[in-house]
Amino acid sequence: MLQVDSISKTFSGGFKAVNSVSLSVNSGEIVGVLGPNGAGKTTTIRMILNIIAPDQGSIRINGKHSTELSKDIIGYLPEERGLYKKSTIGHTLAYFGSLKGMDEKTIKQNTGYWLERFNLGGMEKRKVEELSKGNQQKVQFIAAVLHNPSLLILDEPFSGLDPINQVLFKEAVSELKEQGKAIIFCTHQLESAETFCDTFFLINKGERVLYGTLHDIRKDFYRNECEVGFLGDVSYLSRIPHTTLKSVNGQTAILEYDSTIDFSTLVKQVADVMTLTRIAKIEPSLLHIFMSVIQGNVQKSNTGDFQ
Amino acid sequence: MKLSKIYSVGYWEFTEKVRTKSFLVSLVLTPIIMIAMGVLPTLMGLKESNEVKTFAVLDKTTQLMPVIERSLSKKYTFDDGTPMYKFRNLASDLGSEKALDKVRNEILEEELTGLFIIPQNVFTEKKAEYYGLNVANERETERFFSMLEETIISLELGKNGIDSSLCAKINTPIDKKLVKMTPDGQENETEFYQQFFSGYGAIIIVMILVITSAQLLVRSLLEEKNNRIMEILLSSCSPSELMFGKLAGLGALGVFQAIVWMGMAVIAGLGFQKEFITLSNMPLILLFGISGFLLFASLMIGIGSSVTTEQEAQNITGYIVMLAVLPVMFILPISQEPSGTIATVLSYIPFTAPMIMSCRIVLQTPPLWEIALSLASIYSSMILFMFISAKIFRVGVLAYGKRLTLPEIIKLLREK
Repeated sequence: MLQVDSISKTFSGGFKAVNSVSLSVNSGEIVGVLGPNGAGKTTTIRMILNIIAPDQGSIRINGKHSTELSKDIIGYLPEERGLYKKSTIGHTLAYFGSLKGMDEKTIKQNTGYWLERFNLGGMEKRKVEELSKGNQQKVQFIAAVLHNPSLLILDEPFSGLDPINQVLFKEAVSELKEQGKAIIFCTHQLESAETFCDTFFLINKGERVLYGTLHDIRKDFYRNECEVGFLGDVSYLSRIPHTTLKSVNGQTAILEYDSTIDFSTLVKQVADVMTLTRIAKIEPSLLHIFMSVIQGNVQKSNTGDFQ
Repeated sequence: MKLSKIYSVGYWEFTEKVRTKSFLVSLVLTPIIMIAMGVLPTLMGLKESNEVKTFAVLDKTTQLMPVIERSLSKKYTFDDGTPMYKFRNLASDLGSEKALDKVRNEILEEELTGLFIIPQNVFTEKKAEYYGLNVANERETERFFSMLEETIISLELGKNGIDSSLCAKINTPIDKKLVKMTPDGQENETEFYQQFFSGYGAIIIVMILVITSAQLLVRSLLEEKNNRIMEILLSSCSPSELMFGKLAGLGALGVFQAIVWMGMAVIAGLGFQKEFITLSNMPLILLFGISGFLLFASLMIGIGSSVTTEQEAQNITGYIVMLAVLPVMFILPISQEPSGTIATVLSYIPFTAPMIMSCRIVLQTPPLWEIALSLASIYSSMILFMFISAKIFRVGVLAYGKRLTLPEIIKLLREK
């Protein structure tokens, strides 16, 4: 659906915001775009949105070069939230819809559907400033999806929402994914990204540092450690060959094993010497991966901040 | 650029702004305030107060005052026939210090309006004096002094054996009738004030149209910049579509406003049985109004997109607004001489042209080539400003939190 091929952008003053970045998003796929503040996420997104033009590289949507016309099939929820405070919900949505080339009838239909969906049914005539923050965010989300875009770019869609509304939003996004929309999801909330995205794209200092599925990017970060729950004396554990006992906490221990044995052999060996209650490989979390990649870079150049 | 997107932006700007309370209030209140500011002081100045005013007169000739008093009491009366002025003749005291002191106190306590002194040698020296707390009451002093002149003349004529009634005959002023001619052969009886207010009205209508619409433009740009709606807008349309859409929407709003005001002027004209504005002039006034808006808006759009706060915007737009207000100062010389040098020169300076031309069109429609030249001057500068503003706009609207500096703007303009 979206094909971004080695795009670069240098701003006047010589600051290279994005350097030869590539990514692609398929229909029905959610790509998580992650990176510290100032890493180049917004610039990348603005180029995809055709708000600014890349100096180099190409952006293709459905195989065709992205142009002004592509704006009509992209939906965008910016991170910075803002609406016309004095205007009514209906009028605001009608404006954004008409800018995307929708006709009046479709705008009405879709507005009705989405307002109903977000428990705002019949509130078209209400002024935006009368709404709670969460409800304003719903209106913005509706503005991004009203025209049934094929590509949806959501920048921190869940921030500032209460848990109930978060669930509501997540369901809506999942549903859009099922419908075959290509979705770019920018966030700092790594846990929600981990459960939500199919593919991850990590950008730092304008360069792509990681790209792939969770499984792919985890590969390089496995630490050959497992968590063991046991009954009895811990000293048996320290006698298992090719392993080192890293820590013990009550009836749970962290065991590091070297690459000469595989995990199933290890399980057998542990079960032979003691009563096992559970054993599991420690999977590197996205946060862990993120931190090690970014901090690896930080140590090289000593800049950048990550929240 | 897609017309449909320009239309969407324009439609939004128009419908959103037209239903705001502040717009409706200004639509109704502005003409009222303008009329109040321009017309009321004059009307109030023209209107006679219904208070009897008392003056002390020291007539050292002793023979003039009785005649003057008689004539003034006859000439200036209230509706019920009572004289407007009363005089206290100090002739009997012949200006003793005591009497003058008393008069001075009475003037200070506002029991007397003032004191006229007619010296003995008034026939030869032609000098007289007036003392009062307020000497700007020209109407009263003028009436007295001209009656004094008249009386002296008739006395002198009498001395020389000429009938004094001749003097009254000679002094009767000519009843002026002013007929305004138009090239299409229409001739309308008119008055100076009617002419003056029509010209004034035309300038004011165009000026307010330009200022309010241009300021609405800056405010709407700033709002969208500050609450980041700009991002949503630019992900839906191009900067040029947005810019032209705003110009179209707010321009239409200005036209709507001007039409309402001109309608009010027509209705007011019907009420006063006078024609302040002729229907045939309206399209030209609207044309200059809209041209003026486009010119000022082309400047404002660059400014609005390069600043980040309302204060910064006001600092700069203040100067531009002053440019738009400037023509008001020229109303008098222009209504005296609508085709004079001042009027002609100001018609070709782009910033004053829209207002001055609308004024001239009302007073004495200039030849077509002058109108065309004036429009050419407005539009050529507009295109230049638009070109500069569009460049600033592209970058400025996405630059948050920091105002574009002059060097940055110059750099932008050099970029291709």
